[in-house]
Amino acid sequence: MKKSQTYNVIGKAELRNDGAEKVTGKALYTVDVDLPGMAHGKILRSPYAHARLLRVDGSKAEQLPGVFAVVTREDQKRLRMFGAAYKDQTIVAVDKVRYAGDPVAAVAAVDEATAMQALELIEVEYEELPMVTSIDEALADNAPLVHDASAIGGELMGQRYEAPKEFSGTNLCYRFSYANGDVEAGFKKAEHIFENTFTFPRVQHFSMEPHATVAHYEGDRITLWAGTQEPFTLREHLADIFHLPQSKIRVIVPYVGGGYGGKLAVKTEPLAAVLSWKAKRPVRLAHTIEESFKTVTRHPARVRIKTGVSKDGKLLARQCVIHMETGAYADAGPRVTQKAGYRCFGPYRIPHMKTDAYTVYTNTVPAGAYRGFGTLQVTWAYESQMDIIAEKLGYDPLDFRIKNLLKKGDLYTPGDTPVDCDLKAGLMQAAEEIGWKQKITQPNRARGLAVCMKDGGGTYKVSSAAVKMNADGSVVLLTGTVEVGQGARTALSQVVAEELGIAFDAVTVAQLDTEITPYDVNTNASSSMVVMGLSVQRAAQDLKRQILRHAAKVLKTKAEQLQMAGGKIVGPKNLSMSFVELMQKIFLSRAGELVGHGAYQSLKSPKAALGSPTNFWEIAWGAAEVEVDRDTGEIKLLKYVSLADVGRAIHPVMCEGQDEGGVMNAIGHSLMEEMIYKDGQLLNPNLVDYRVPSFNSLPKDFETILVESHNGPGPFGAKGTGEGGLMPVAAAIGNAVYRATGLRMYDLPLTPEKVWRGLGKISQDL
Amino acid sequence: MKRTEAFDFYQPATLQEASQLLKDNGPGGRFLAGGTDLVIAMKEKGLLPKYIVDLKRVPGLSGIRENSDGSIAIGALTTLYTIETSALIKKKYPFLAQSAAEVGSIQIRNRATIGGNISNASPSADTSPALVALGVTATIASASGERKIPVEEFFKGPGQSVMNADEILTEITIPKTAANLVGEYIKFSPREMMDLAYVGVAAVYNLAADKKCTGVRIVLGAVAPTPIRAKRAEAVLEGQILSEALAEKAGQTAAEEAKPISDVRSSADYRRAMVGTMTKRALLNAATGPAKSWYDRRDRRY
Repeated sequence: MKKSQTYNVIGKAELRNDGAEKVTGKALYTVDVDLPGMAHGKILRSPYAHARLLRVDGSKAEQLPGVFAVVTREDQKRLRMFGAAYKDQTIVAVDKVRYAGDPVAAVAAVDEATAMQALELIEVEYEELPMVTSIDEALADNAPLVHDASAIGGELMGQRYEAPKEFSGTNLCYRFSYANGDVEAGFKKAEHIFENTFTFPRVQHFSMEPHATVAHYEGDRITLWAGTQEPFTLREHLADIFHLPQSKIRVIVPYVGGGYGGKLAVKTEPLAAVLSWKAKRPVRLAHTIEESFKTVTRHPARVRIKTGVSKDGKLLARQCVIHMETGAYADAGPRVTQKAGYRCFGPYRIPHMKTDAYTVYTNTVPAGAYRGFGTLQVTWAYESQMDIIAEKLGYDPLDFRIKNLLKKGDLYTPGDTPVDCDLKAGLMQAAEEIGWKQKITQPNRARGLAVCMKDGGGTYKVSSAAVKMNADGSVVLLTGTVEVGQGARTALSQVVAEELGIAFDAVTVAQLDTEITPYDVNTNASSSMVVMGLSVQRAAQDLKRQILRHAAKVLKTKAEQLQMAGGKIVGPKNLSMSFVELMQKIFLSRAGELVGHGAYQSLKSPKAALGSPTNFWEIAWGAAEVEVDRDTGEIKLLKYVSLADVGRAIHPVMCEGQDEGGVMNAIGHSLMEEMIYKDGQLLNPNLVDYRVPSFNSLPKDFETILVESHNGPGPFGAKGTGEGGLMPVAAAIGNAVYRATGLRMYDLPLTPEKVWRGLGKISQDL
Repeated sequence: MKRTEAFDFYQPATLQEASQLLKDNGPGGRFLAGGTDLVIAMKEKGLLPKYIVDLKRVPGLSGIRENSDGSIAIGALTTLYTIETSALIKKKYPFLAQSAAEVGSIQIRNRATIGGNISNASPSADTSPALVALGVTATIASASGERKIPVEEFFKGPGQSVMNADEILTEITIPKTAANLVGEYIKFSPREMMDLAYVGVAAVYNLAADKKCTGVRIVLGAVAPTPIRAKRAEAVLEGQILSEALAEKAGQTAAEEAKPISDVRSSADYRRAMVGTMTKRALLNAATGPAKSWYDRRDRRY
């Protein structure tokens, strides 16, 4: 790329192309879809955490006027089981219920209130079973088993996941192990060894729009309007469940009111389809907030981290043992576990590494994908431990990190993509912005740092896109990236406009419909700007080639002589032609279209630890200044600085939005969010007692800095963003709290009461 | 959200009519004001009233007026937002305006009424500690007449008050107070807004030029079945010169007087300790005058 190159559309904060629709309330979400004759579904959920299902009888509910269909376990008989990684789920419970909230039956009726009334008429007999509701309980000898069958497994994104044979008869369902070097030898060489255990709470995505589906099962065809992040994968799941070819399943995705991973894979969409099949009409199945709390969460985790350090402060060896609690069904648990296991070494040079990460079933809500995907659990651990080590060895936390950081071009592990960013420069900038070297005179105040890295863009991606020019010269983008609020439609349109030399608002984005839109595996893992970005860029370039080839013929010149700029075709000697003119010349009428195609497919490599080298490295630096109220245990966030390596910001304001949103998201699990269980029951499935951050939780001084070195594999040097901002938050705050008070916290969230108790213990010990 | 069972709905035009409806229809009826507690209880907590008597058509139940004797009367249907923004209340009793501002969101405060907030008798109601601390009297009416009772004696337990089913809270009266009366209400909850109090503390006293404190009232919310006065803590400061040490001691005494429970929000231990801390801070803040802005208030709570 030429350095002097200037761009017309990318790098500018264009007005979002979905903005007017959204702020005026006109934007259509799945919950808004209303079809003629549409029924409303409701789900009967288990009140018990673990129980055998003795009897389910929906006959009385079927008699209630206004009820169209009652779905019970009888309806599962003709269907295949499903799940993101393992096929361990059914539309409703069959032999037993595995968590409080597990669907037992469902009703479709004229309205939701009638459906709820019908739920009360369904007769269910349970026989309660002993339960396991934590990692410790699940791992105990002779623990009750959540799943009796041990031979489970499945495929996710081209990779096979299954439980090792020795897990038979236990609640363990997956293990990821990785080693490089000789960890035992590394520990032997080490002068100091640090061993700590950190825990991470169960938290929920809290999308503004809870899960929703409108399903219409007609003949052998299923049409779904779904709030999903992966319509094509959902199509694949449904095809399998219902024994149908993918061509018989159509998924239309309206705007999605937040995803954060919670709308990946398959949730209650198949149940909606069965309701529609039985009711012989379209059925809308929209969760309440409480139901979404009982559908999917982030994995609670326990991370044991052991690190060996040399005399001169070099990291020599690290061993991690990680347990991820996946709840009653695996969902994406095995893959999340794999990522947690792989990402626990951090952005540091460690010659000897070993990790064993386990997925554990319990009788709680299933845990699946959630923004960061196994990373937050381990960044909390390793970046907290970096400060523990630095202090013990007498280093400034900044200097100690710099001493051990990977350099650009270094390998995180052999066979993976080399590090693509200057980690030290970013850390120095974060330290500078927070005023690391400035002395703090007020009591109970201090600063903390963290730097984190994860493989970005998802492991192994397949994507494609199309860009069409219509007969009138207007341009339409067909992309499978779901607009979940992140601004993908806007940023991808900028890429098209830049490539075609047209104005940003000359690009229209088509409704996502799996029957028309080219394939894309999913909208996750901070991937869209790179994976879909490249597909879209290539599609636009393909269209451009076609246009210029046609134009060259018409203008009797060479395609290489021509360019697209200012919304038309231009060439030497003031040669110029409008698109509509060209289209008429090609098709000899006001008809026809030109379609450009583009695709992207990640590499596979047996040498890479995860089977495929990462698309890019997602890197985030965070620095916090806090004040701790010793009397109440409250942590005041005085300042937070977040740096994100975005490669190139296609839309700088939305990149900042993603990063700030990520930090706010992480302030939740750092300071307040936690789903509390007692006797298998979730005590706080509501927004009063489950606290998500509000504007009041914003740091008083909050800065996001975009690092742009045009080093990404995406269009114009872009990287992906979205998850990075979350990674350093908890540890940066935890480290600052330690430096302010001497209290080292190991268990998130850092609630006032926990900090107050911790401070009380310290003062007793003094 | 469930469909509620069918119920009769009345909109009487007078108090007598309203009270008579309760007498005639018997048990199972509820009065409706702003509906911010009642409607949620019906839709989400399974409350099934047989009938509802809406008080909003009864004239004269809302508004704030200053009486000739220096007392201030507040109609039961006055919204919390009206109290929060009333120039008179803000000037004379800024901590009361503030306690109203602590409730829910602005949408809620535009519906919720002061009478409803009191009648609902929630132990964590934000306005109750300030009202008790001010020695406010409640006027209760029924078809058979009217009676007055101090708000301090109004509450009997969570959701329980001295009112009979056919009685209606019509007005509260803040008695004339000394010109040097100062006060503070602190709601302690981790989110600080859109949240329920872990602990609420109202502190009110007359502050002399030499910092001598008299008429000390310390009222605690959310740490007992009803709002309670911490009388031993009041005695610690009564007639004394305000100092940090004394405020600390009063706080510790108040903590001993609290009867908190443990629940999903907080342990009893923590609540008790926070009563101590917040009582101390409320006593000291009261002397420095009202917070200038919401941010100011948030900051000095620490």
